[in-house]
Amino acid sequence: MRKVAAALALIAALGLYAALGRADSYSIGKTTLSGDVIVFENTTVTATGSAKLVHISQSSPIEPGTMRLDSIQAKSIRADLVEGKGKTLTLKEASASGGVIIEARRADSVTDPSGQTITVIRNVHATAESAKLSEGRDTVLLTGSVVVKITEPGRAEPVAVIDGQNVTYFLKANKIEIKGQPGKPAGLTVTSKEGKQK
Amino acid sequence: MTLAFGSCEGIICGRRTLLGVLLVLGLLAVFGLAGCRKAVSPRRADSSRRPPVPAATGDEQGKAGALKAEFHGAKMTWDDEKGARVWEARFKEAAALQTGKSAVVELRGVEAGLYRNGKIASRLVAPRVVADSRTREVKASGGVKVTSAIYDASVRAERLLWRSREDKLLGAGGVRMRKGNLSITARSFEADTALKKAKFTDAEMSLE
Repeated sequence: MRKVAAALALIAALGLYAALGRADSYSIGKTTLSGDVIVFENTTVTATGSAKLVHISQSSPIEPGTMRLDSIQAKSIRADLVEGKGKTLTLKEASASGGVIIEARRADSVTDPSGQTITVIRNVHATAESAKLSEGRDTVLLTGSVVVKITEPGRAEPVAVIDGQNVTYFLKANKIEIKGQPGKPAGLTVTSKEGKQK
Repeated sequence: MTLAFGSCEGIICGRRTLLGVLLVLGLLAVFGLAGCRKAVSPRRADSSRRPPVPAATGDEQGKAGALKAEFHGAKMTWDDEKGARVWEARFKEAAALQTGKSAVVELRGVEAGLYRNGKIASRLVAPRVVADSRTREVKASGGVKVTSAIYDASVRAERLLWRSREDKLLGAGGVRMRKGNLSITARSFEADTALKKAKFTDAEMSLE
């Protein structure tokens, strides 16, 4: 009888260990890349025709003062993977070209009329000719006729519109850097609740 | 016509093998062909009705290249003209089919090695396989799994065609490729035998 009880206790302990152990080994998110055609070779995956790269984060809401990349759409997206510990493949870099559309969100801290600091989640919609995501550096570089529109829930007009030849998102720092070109200066239009400012 | 069938070797390994052998013998009897090599020597058989040699001969040999195909109990192999292994399969049941000039064998419960330049490139598991020794093509169906013997990758599909001469695998229906934590689902795919490079249609890759 004691042996049976001991065996049951051991099985229960192993089950608990396995459950807790798995919780630790969860990855922080899931990345998917889809397209009409996907070519896989070694550690490079290229999607063409309605290509879409999506990052589904399993973590809680966006941390205030950061940006989160949700998706990249383009005619063609190339994902370079790198093999890490235990042969786990992770995204090292992604390059998109042709009709690029990027969806992201940023968590901005703002002071409301009562003087309290609140977090507002704003959508960042961008179009460009090409884009490069560097997973390690947490940056997204958009190039070629870039237009970025930042919208806020409850407001019809964009909070800000950015246009330029080179725009960089710094995701961890919640920063957007705009660069123009000689003869093509970068533009930023901010719409306050009262009116438009350029 | 080229018909590939060899010896039973007098060893019966279990009921399934016995049933398989009986099935093959029955089919051969229907086709008017010889049964076990030991029982009836192919050379003694009527050559007009009983093609004895499994490999392609005559004109076909010239077109398709010399290929020697043998069955040994529940094992079948193809070697090319240089003696390099092309295909090696173990199976539970076998039946010889005649379609025009082809030498076609239908196998069930198959575990096979797919070779490239005489070296194993991948392993195939399938409930049903139709292997044509003349064209050196293998059609597998019923839920097929191919695992690369060189790269850490495997692919599943409802049905698959292996064109050994072209070093090409073509699969369709519920395609799913796995390489570690990477998986690709697709409607169809095309890859080299070792699964080094693969092209998928209507596909989605996911990294977890």
